[in-house]
Order: sequence, then structure tokens, then C-alpha cells
Amino acid sequence: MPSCEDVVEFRFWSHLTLRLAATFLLLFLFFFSPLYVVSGNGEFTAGIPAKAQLEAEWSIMLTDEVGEIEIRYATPFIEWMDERDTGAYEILDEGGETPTAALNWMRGLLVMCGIGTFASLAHISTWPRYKGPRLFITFWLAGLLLIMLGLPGAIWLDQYDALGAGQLPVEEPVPPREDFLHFTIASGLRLSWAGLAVDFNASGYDRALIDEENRTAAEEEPPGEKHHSYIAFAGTVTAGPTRYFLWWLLLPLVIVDRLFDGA
Amino acid sequence: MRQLVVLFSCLMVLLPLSHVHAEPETIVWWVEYDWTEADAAADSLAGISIRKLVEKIEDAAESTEIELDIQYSLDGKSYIYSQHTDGGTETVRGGNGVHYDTEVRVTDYAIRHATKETATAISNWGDNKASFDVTASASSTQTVIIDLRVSEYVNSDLEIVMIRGESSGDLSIEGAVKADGFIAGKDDRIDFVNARVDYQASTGWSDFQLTWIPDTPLALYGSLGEVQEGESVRLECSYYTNYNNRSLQSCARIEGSYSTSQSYEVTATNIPAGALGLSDYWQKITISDSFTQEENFEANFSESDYYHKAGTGMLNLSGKEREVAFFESDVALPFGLIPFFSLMPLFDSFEGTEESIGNGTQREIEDVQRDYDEDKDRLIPIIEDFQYSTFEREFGRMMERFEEEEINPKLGDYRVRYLFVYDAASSRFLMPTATYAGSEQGEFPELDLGEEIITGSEGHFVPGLKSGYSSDSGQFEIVRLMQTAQDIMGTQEELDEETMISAPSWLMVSLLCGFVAVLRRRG
Repeated sequence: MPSCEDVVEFRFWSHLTLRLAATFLLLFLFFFSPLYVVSGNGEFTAGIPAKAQLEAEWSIMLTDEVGEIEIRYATPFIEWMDERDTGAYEILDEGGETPTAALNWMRGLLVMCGIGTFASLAHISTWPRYKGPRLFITFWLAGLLLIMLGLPGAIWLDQYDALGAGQLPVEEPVPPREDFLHFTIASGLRLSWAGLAVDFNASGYDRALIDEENRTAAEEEPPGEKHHSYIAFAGTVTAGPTRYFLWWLLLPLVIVDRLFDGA
Repeated sequence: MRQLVVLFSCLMVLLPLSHVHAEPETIVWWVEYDWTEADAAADSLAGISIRKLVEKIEDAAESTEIELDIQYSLDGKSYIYSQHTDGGTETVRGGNGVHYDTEVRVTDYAIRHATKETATAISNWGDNKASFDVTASASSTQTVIIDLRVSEYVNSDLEIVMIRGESSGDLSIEGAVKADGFIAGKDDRIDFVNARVDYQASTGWSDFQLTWIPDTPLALYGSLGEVQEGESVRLECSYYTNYNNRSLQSCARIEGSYSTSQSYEVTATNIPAGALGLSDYWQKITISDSFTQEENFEANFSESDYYHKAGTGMLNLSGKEREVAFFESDVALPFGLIPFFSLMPLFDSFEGTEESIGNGTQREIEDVQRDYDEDKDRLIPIIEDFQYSTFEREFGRMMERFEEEEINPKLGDYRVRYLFVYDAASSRFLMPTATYAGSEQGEFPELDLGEEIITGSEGHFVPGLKSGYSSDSGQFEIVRLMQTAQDIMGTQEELDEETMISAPSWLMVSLLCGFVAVLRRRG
């Protein structure tokens, strides 16, 4: 027969193991999934590539970033690329690595918050009533703020030079002015379930589709919407936490009994 | 699509007719080919095979600093089945407005083809300026599924009053190219880690219906039964001419409808995006499209064909010996293959895309060349490192060594004759045959596929080729039910590596097990 002390000890360790295991599981699920995602989708509404649909997703993972592009109904888009005179302007994007210094800092802080929530459970038996979960909740809230504000802020800092002062990381994509003449864009920022969303309608005259001898004239006077260089695109860009954010939101459930203990 | 209609019409004119007074019977003829025997067949027929070529390439590489190991395999099966059955009687209106009581003769074709090729190449080389170590593999599966039904309406005078055709089919290709390894210059390096490109394209048609009505009932079969060996029957629309012995008017009206669908999808995963001028994080790029089209068509048939009686022979069908005649035709393809080749024009709708992609690719290459000339520093320096390395010299040596290897295919001059077996007793074409005649220098063996098909073969002449005929439609139905590459090749679908549980998932499962164990212990 186990003694009373043994039973108490057993229950205590069972509780702690259970909490630690649940916390570890939730943190594991969260950190090995995309943390934050910037996605865009839209459709060409006028011009040669009309009806082609673009969808792009840029996900921030714990260690790196992953991008995916999908072009559906791609044939008009391929025909557009084929018709373009790529010598019409300088290629601005040289590709290669993107700066991620601020993002890496933010990732590190987020991991520390995760470790903090885990480590704070070790002293759960010594937590005084009502004040006990404070440390755990502090780390959890800090992580929440980092995900909601820190990550988009870090993206903005990293992309600051590319975007230009005053632009948000979810600003609508603006092609280089050299590519599209008389480029106009109408957009509206709104909050959505996915986070911040920008709806936009963009149009312009593809310089690469205009004959070389007419380019100067086209720069001064738009050739008109019936000209084959006229391209229009409508779409939405969203930025926000992914659905895996739920794992972080569920963390307080691990100490839910202590939150209301004695209340 | 126009070519399809014309070729389809050619097929219809050639199609078998039943003698209205013949006993109802089912005749199935078939040809099967096992593609695993293709290498052996090429070796025995022409003295050359892919295995031998691979060995010679590897031998050539061995004499240089380039290490090369190539594995290649080909698997697959083809089935061409045809079934003639009687379809009862029906009254139809001829092209001249007269109603005729006709017997309906139905010919069903089931064409199934699936092949899968896989190749793996492990190659490495290096000097102090450039090097590479790449394991590349590619696999490709082609599938052809075609169903065709041709119904002939024949009056009591053995004249063709109308022919109706219905068809559906699907041609598809899918595959993947994978690469692991690296290509390195002095200061730059491109790594391939699980890089792969998956592709899939298909074209298909359904509800293809075509009606062929000659202006006046066509007495083709009666004429074929009357000509002597060496004589011909000619079909002509626009004029009547004394071609050898007999000529027939075959002007006809064609109308029908069809719907087609095409699709393609290319997905590149884990590609070295940075080396291609994209940002490094672009790990997956997918391009896809699909088209559908519905059309009605109407045309006048104005082609001409001839049937030359080349000889006679005996055929044993259902235990009865019967005399058959061999006819050569303008359309030098076996019946079963005519629809297959005639459907190639369906790719017409892709032509614009292909052309634009082709032009686009060419222009891109020219742009790259121009950029390279103008500003070499902006391009991948690895290419330059390879140019200054000894690779070109080594590769040249390998190619010289390869050319020294004796690869002399035994193919000399040869002649192929396509014949149709015509059963005079029932006034119907039964099956196609082909005869290959070798040259007098004759390293290429003489084959009589006609004999193989008529007598039924088990790959005696061509390894992997089997053929035969019977009055039992069981096997025809089995073939007709094949709808996937796996059905056709008789293989189980391979477990895709991406469907396997990944390592982190295993960790998750372990954690869950631990979690449950703790709960149970607590309880």
C-alpha cells in the first residue's frame, strides 16, 4: 500500500508532467508551423494577361522564410511574358537573399517567450494563489504582442529601404515606375480575420509592350485603354498570423485550474 | 480539328461491313505489347538497345575524369482491341432522301497504352576551378485511353447508307525531374537539395459524334468482293475515272460535335531560386491552366482512297476455315491505329501556346546571351569558371571516345506494307496486318507480322508483341475497363514519398503517445 505522502507526490508529479507535456506539445506545434504569413492573390482584369490569376504566399518560419507562387490560367500570362521586350527597362531585382536581421531578433525573442512559459511551470507548486500564473501569463502576453506587432514591425524594418519611408509591410505591390507608364492604384486598408488586408485595383501601360519609337510619346500621353499595352490587375494582400497561432492562444489552458483556483 | 474530321472520315470509309445475310457473330482481334521487352526487341531487330548505349556512354566516361553512372528502365503495356458485333436493324434516311432498311454493324475499339520511363544519373567531376556532384533522376508516365465505336448502316444490296462514329479519349503525360548535389565554381556554389520539377499535361475529348452520309449509298463491299488479285477499287468524290478496274463515287456529308479539354501543370519545388535571379525564399512555383471547348462541325467529304487486292489466304475463325483477301490501302495504318494518329490534331489547340512558349524561350535565351555579352559580371560566374576549367576538354574527350565505340544498327533498307484482311464470305474487313520486308543486303530480318496476327503470336518474331483473334469478348471488356496507368501496366500505385509521415510528425505522434500515457497513469 502506498503511503499518503507517496500519493500526494505522485499526483504532484503527474500534474506537472501533464502541464509540461501539454506546453511542450503546443509550443512544438506552434514553432514548427508558419508563424506569420503575407499573402496576395488577384486577377488580371485587362490586357494580354487578362483572366490569369496569381497567388503568392510568403510564410515566416522559425528558422527561415518560404515563398510559394501559383499562376492559374497561366497561358495568357505566358503569352504576355513572351510579347514583352525585356530590354525596355533595367532589371531592378537582382534576386538573392533578403535582409532578415530584425526578423531574426524577433524570432529569438519569441523563442525566449516560449521557453519562458515552459520554464515558469517548473515552479508551479510554489506559486502563491492568485499571483501564481503571473510569470506564465507575462511570457504568454509578451509572445502575443511579438506575434501581433513585433513580426510585422520586423518585416517593415527589414524591408524599409525597398518599400520607402512611410509604407507599411502590407502596402500594395507597386511595380517599378520604369515598367509601367501612368501607373495608378486605388487601394483600401481594412481589418480582416486574416489580419491586415489591402484591396487594390492597379492599372498602367506596360512599357515593354510599346514600340521603342513610341515610348517617349507614351510617357507623356497615355496611349488609351484600348492599346494592347494597357494592363489592369485587381487583388488583395493580407498579412497576419497563421491559423497555427491558435496553438499559442491555447497555452493558458495548461494552467486554467490555477487561474481560477480559490477565486 | 479539321484534320481529325477528315481522318476520322477516312477511317469510316475503310471500316468493315457485315454481310447482311451473314450469321450474327462476334469477332475480336487484338494486339498487345509489353514495353519491358522493347530493349530486347530493338536489340534483336536492329542490333541496338538503350542498355548498350548507356554502357557505351559509361565506358566513354570511364576513360576521362568524369564519373558517370546511369540507370534506365522502361515499363508499360499497350493494348489495341477491336470487337465486331451485330447491332440489329434500323431504318435510316440516305443522302439521296430515300429511307432504307439497314442492318447495323458495330465495331468497338479500345486502345490503352501506358509506359513509365525512369532514369537516374550520378555524375561528378572537378578541378581547381569548377566542380559538380549531382544525382539527377527523371521519371515520366504516358497514358493513352481511347474508346471508339463505329456503327455502319448497310442496306440489303450491301451498300453503305450511313456511318456513325462516337468517341472519347484521354492522352496524358506526367513525370518529375529531381536533383540533389551541387555545381560549384571558384567562389560560387549552387546547391540542389531535394530540388524537383513535377509536370502534368493532358488532353481529352468526350461526346465526339460524327455522322457520315454518302450522297448515294456506296457499293464498296460488293466491289471489293468482285475484284481479282492485282486489281483495285478506288473511291472518288469529284469525278469518275477508270482507275485500273473499278471506281466508286464517295461524296458524302459529315456532321458532328465534340467537346475537348486540355490542362497542364508544372510545379518547381526547392529550386535554387537565388541562382535564377529570384529571392532565395521562393521554394515553390506552380504554373497551371485548363481549357475546355465545345464545337459542332459540318463538312463535305471529298477525299479519295484506293484498295488494292494484294493476295489471298486462309483464316481459322471459330473452328471454321474461311478464305480471306489482303487489301492494301492509301491509309497505311492498321485500323486500330488510325484513330490514335488521327487524334493528334487535337493538339492544334496547343499550337498557339507551344509556339508562344517556344518563341518566348528563344527570346529569353537571346536576352540572356545579350546580357552576358554586355555585362558578364551580372551573370552567374560559375559558367565562366566552367569555361576556364578543364571540363570542356574532358567532355570533348568523352564524346570522342563515345564516337569511337562501334554502334552500328543493323537497319538496312526495308519496306513496310500495311494490309487489311477482308473476309469475302461476310463482306467485312476483319483486321489489319503489316509486313516488313528486309533489304537484300539484309541484316534486318524479314518479318511477316501479317502472318503473326492471322495465326496469333506469342512474341516469336518481335519480343513482347502478342496478337490474336477470337470470338470471345471477355478480354475486350477487361481492356475497356482499364482507366488508369496502373490498370494498364498492372501495377499498384506507388507510395508517394510525400504521403509518408515526416520526421517531425513522428515526433508529434511520440509526444501524443506520451501525453496519453501520462493521462492513463494519472487515472
